[in-house]
Amino acid sequence: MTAMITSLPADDVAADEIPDVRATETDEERAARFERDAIGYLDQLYGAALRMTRNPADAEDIVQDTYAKAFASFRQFRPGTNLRAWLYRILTNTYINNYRKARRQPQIGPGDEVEDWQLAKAASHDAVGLPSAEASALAQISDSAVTEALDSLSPEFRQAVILADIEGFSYKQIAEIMDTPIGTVMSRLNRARAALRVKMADYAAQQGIGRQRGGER
Amino acid sequence: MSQVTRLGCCLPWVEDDFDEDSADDCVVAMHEAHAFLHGELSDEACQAIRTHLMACEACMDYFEAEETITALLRRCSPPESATRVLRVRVESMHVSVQAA
Repeated sequence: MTAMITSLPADDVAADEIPDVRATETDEERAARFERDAIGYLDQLYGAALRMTRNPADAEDIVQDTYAKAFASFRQFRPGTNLRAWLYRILTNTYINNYRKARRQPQIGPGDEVEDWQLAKAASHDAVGLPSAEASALAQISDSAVTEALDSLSPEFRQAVILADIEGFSYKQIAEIMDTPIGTVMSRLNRARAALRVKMADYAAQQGIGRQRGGER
Repeated sequence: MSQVTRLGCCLPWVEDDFDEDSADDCVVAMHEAHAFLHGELSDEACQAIRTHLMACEACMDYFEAEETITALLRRCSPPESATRVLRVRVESMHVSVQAA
């Protein structure tokens, strides 16, 4: 086992140094520990749920479900490992399951089928057909256009972007949260970001941002 | 005209001194752009990309655009606060479970 320790992430190494109280604590003590450690993430989880659902009532339901499940299985959480990531994992499962239930057959949203040509387009230097200074053109698009672009992605793609770009999780943590291999995380992120880039550039073009007066492209 | 200049990096045949290696560098840089921007690459790999970006304006533009998209996503995702009702519901949860 010792040989493996070095390859484990810092969280897990720290976990080895934290005494595992689970075997000895009473139900009351565990409940108190849950309240002390887990409730602090309420605002963050609610924010993430709101970004996933875009609906305050749905977000509240998902967060409440998440905390109910987390509390019920808190005995399985190893103290000292990443509680935030563990809670996000439950949140993600709850959201994806609810979403699937809401639409009986998994719907193929626009974000689900990022076409190869879109990928190629986004991955080329001529990505957006905008004049140079593409970054400053993108920076001018409206918040609602950004939100709309994000919402156009399938749940899995949007979730990958939310976890990486907004919540700041590492790829390894995202792989654990979404229960996928790390390669899948990278592929989802690349495809999701490619789709976002094409969409945002379309908005910028529609809004007439980035086109030079002379019309030269 | 600007199109040609901008594409020059990835369409090497418009360049007189076409260098296959530099085209490969573009492919690598763009493939690893997100891992780079998310801080997932080794120091060595980061350095290789930085070196390429210094020499390749088109790739630099690409990276800047991707960085801008990340900034946009964050701008549109301000921190949220759970409502009082939700907080009370969640905080009272373990009490009711214990009582049951």
